[in-house]
Amino acid sequence: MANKIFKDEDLTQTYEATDILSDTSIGTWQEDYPLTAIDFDRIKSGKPVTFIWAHSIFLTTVGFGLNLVAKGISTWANVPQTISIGEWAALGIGIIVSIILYVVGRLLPNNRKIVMKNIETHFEKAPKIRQAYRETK
Amino acid sequence: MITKNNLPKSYVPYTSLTVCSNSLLGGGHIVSIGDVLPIIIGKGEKPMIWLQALAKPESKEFVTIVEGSISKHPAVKVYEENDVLKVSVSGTMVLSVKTTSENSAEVDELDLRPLGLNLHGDSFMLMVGASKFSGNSMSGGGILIGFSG
Repeated sequence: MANKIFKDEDLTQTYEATDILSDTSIGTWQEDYPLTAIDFDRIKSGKPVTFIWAHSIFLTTVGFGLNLVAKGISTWANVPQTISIGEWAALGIGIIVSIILYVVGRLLPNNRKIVMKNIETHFEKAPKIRQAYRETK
Repeated sequence: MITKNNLPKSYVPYTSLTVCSNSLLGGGHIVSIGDVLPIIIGKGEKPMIWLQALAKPESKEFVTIVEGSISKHPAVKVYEENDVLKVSVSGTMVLSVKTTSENSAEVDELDLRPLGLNLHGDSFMLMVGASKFSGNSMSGGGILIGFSG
C-alpha cells in the first residue's frame, strides 16, 4: 500500500492512487434460516423428556455395571467376591428400563428433530452466492 | 455519469479551489476514477456541487447522489449552515464547502468513504488511502488524484 506524504509541493502531475477504492471483500452469501422463537424453544427443549431419563438411567447402570466388573476382576485375582442375584437383577432392570424409555422417546413427537431437519433442508437447498461487498470502517 | 468529457452544463469552475489545505488553481478537479469525476465543485450563488457514489466497485459504476447542489437520494442531505454548504450521507458529513471570494472556495471537510472512496480530510490534510497531502498546489486545471484501475 502506498504511503506517501506530499507537503507544500507544487504538483504538476496527477497522483496515481492505487488504494483509493474502499476495501472490498469477497464473501459467500446464503439466505439465512428464518428461526422463530418457537423454533428456538423447540430446539432448546423439544426433545422428549424420556430421552433424558433413558440417558441418565443408562449411565447410572453403566456405573453400577463397572462395580460388578471390579468384583469380577477381584475374583479373577484370587480375592473371591460374590455377586448376588439382586445385583444382576438391578443391572438387568437398569438396561431394560433405559431401553424402554429410549423406545418411548422415539415414538413420541420430537419437535427438536423436526426443526433441525427443516434447518438442514433449508441450507442444503438455499443457493449460495459469491459476492463482493464493501467493508464498513 | 459525469466524466472529464461530460461535465454538467451549469458547471463553472472556481479559479482557486482549496481542498483540505491543497490549492487547485485554474479549474482543477480533486479526484478521477478512470474518466469519472466523483466530486465536482463549481461556482454559483452558493457552491454548486455534483457528487457520484461508487455503486459497483468491480465495474466502476457510479450513481449521482447530488446534482447541482440538490440531493438525488433520500439518505443524502444538502444544507447550508453559516454560509457553509454541507452534504451528509446517512448522518455522516461528507463535504463542507465555503465560498471565500467570488472566484474561490474552500473545502474544509471531506469524507468520501461512505461513497466508496478512501478519501477524507479536514482543513489541514487530505488523506488518500494511506497517502497524505497538505499545503500543496496544482495549477493548470489538472486532476489532483487519479485512479486508472
